[in-house]
Amino acid sequence: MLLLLALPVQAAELEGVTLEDRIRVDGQELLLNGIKLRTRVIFKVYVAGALLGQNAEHGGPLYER
Amino acid sequence: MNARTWLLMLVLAAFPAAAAEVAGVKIDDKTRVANAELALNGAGLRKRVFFQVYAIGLYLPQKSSTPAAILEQPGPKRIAIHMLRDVSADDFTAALADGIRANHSEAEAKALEPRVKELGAIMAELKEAKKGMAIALDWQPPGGTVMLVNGAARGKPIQGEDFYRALLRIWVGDKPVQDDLKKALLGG
Repeated sequence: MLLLLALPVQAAELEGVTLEDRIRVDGQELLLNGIKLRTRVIFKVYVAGALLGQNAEHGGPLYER
Repeated sequence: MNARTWLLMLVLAAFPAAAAEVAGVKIDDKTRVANAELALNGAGLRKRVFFQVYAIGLYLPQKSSTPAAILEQPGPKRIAIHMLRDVSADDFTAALADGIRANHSEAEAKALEPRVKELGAIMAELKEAKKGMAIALDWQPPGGTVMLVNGAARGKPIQGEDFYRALLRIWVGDKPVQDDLKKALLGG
């Protein structure tokens, strides 16, 4: 008991967030099973397209836009 | 190839094509396809931007390394979420609902829906899961699922361990929101 009190509380740390290794819920001791960051990915998609120009052979636009 | 095309080619060769540059990649302003000159309409970069949403920890009476052992384990549990950015109540609830749908049959999801709405209503009162907020989803038998914000219980307990298991499956189910997150919550 004395030994336990003397030891600092163990904790997991992730991106400045600290989660204790042990907590009490409803009077029962729970152990930290794992910790992780939830990250999301955003795809920024720019349109890369081609505008039809003049057709050298026919001398006119292929499509009316 | 006729004379006119040759002439055009000579002209094009004489004037180096102007080019757009994106992240060190040169993209010509003009190109030829099927003998037609095409002008570059736009160029850009497809970017992947990672951002951190929250840190999550799973607390159990006994450490477990398989989803089944976690789901079947009796006694209280806690899913501890620490927000790392602002997420609207709607987005937060929608993400939970998506996670539940991904891991359950249509019939199961339908049975869980009213309770997802209960949780959504508690979230809606908060308006936002703000950066720095500590959100705990506790299984507190026999009362139910209790949501705590910065240590204070919100709303009424949501009934049924099936609902809490459904919440757990969002992160440790067959189709987790994030594979490496599931692995970590199973103890790495």
